[in-house]
Amino acid sequence: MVLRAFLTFFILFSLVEPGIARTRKQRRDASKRDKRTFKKAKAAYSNGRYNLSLSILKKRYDLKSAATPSGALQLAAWDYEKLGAIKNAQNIYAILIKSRFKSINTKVLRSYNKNGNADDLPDEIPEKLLTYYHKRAEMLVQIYMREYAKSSNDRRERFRKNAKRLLDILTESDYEEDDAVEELLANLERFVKAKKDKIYNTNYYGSFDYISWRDKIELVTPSGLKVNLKTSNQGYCVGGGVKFENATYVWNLGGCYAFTNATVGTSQSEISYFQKNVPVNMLMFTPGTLWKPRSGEVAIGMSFPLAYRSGDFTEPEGYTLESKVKFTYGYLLEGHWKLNPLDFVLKFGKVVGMSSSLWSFGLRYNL
Amino acid sequence: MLLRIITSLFIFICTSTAWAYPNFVGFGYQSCLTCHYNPFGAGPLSDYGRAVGATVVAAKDLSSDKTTDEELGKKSGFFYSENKNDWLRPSLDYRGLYLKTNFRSESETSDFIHMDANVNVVLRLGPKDNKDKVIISSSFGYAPKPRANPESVSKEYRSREHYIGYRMTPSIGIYAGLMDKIFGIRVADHIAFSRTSTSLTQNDQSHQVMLHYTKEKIEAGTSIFFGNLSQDEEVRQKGFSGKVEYNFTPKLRAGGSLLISKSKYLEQTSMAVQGKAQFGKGNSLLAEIGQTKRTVIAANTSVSSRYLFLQNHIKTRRGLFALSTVEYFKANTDKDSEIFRWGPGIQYFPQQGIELRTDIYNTRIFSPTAVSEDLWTFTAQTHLWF
Repeated sequence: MVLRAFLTFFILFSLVEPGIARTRKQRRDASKRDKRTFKKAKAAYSNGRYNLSLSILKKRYDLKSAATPSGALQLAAWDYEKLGAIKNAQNIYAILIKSRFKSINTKVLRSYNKNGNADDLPDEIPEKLLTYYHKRAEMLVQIYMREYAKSSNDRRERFRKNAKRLLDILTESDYEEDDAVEELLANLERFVKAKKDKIYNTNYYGSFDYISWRDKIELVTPSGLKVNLKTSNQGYCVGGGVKFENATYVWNLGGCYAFTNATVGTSQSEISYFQKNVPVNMLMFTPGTLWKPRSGEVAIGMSFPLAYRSGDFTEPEGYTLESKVKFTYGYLLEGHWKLNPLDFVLKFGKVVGMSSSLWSFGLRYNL
Repeated sequence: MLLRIITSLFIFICTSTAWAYPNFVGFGYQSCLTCHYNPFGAGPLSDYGRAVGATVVAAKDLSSDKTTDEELGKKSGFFYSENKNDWLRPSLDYRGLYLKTNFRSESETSDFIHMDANVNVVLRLGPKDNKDKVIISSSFGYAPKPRANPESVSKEYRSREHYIGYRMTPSIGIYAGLMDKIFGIRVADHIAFSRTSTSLTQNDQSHQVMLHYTKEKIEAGTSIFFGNLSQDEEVRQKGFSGKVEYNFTPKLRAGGSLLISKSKYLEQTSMAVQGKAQFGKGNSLLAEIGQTKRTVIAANTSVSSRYLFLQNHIKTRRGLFALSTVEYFKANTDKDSEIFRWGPGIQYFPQQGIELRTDIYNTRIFSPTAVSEDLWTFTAQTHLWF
């Protein structure tokens, strides 16, 4: 009985043991091969031969498989990073995170997605995982910035959100390289803001200004003598327009119709002419551009008015008035202050054919 | 005639001394006490005020790139050095003005005026942990005779400010001596109608006792004044003035002012509503609307005048500001004549202690009885302080 049991065991062992021994040998050989491969690849990396390092690794391993040893995957990620193939490097880190730290990573992401922030993360996030998060975040930020122009909005947003999520997690955890993380976050936010600041928005507005200008017209006497008449005009200008603005520049197409009263007279002694409360109207079209020096609530710039002015000046019998109607142009310095939904606007400048300045101040209502 | 008066007034008034910049509300400094020993502004700057001037307002264009703001702040004391002690604060300042009036016309004139040169001393006599609790401030310097009246008997050297101040608590202070009266926005522009029509220009200081209160959102002050004791008794304007302002938001402060005074010959009542707003960082908008009633006692006649003052400050970069001033003035509210004045300008602080400013003023008179040419004035100012 015993002998039979012993013989059975001996026969079975003789049949199986070579297989086990073969497997053990295979494993030993595989391990030796892994070590040789890794050593060669690492040497190539150290010598700056990143392509060679990668090809050595690729011959031995599938770099998209979680079964590949961590060391090989890490080295491949470094190779890709050095070669500028950031997407490939980022994918490897994603594999490492999901396969090596599956459970804790799931917990961290679940907490973040549930709260919308990193305030309630699990304790004891392994340092290695945080390092992988950092590397991956770095690469996501690079991809986001590099491919911003050619990516769709959705794709951009995905990269940005993923990067931001990892950076928030790193900021709230006890990760030792918090300065580097802070800088990365700041760079990302600066980039996002810079892109957003460049986007132009279209805004329509209505305007109401108090306006004044000094003008001149000529009175021609029956004998042909020309006498300069000065006019002082003040009143209101009602209008509107459209502006295209981003955080730094404003391009404005506006206009208004001025209803003013003028006082008309002359200082020349040859003639006596005086009129007050003369209705004078002016249609103005004022395209212009402004700059926001601190990208904020104040803008300064210039506009270039085109103006058509007409007035109900009295022509004494036998006399003629020249320049009763005038079509002219000029330049105005402008300042705008945002008092949402209003803008306070000042304008001061010169119009050709008018004897002194034209200025106005008023409000714009942004529609 | 009116134009000639305005020109003379301009030249007369330009000999100014004040160096209050309420425009710096654009940096979030709502209260003048933050930077000045005088809680309503003007006069010597406190240590903090000098440091702010060096590190926030002024550029570093004359310093090396390696100079940090911390170093500039430390060396913002007298003659750009660190303060040697904690009780004595001397300072010097000078203003010069290049003035061109009626330019582009036959009556164009130009001149360079030494507006003032002052020596200021502040003694900080409070306890060690609060030296500014008790201060004695004095200022003495050159005050040129009015250019419109070179025969004037007024002295060319005078003190425009000397007082003792005691802060009973951080919120309440009492001050006694010769100071500017409390009213409206104390701007540096002494040609402003808000200053000339209310008789609050460079030589209108008064001996007074003043109370100042500040707490979170509110700031107020009141004073009883006795006229400038160096003047004849008969012409001294005696009375009281007060001002209260409230922060409606952290960036918007508004309030009102009242001044009532009387001498043997003249009675004055002035009222104003004023506001200061901050836009972004370094930009501001100041506005004041007011009315003054003057009664000539002997004739029992009164004239009321009205004004509007609007000034903006836009920071284009550190140390460099674009500004413009818009003013309205009606000398007699019973009549239709009125004046508008516009003044775009540039203000540049290349370094702590140096200010360069240039303005162009366009004055336009509206009268129901005559049409006159606009008056154009160009000014270029140099201000140095140590």
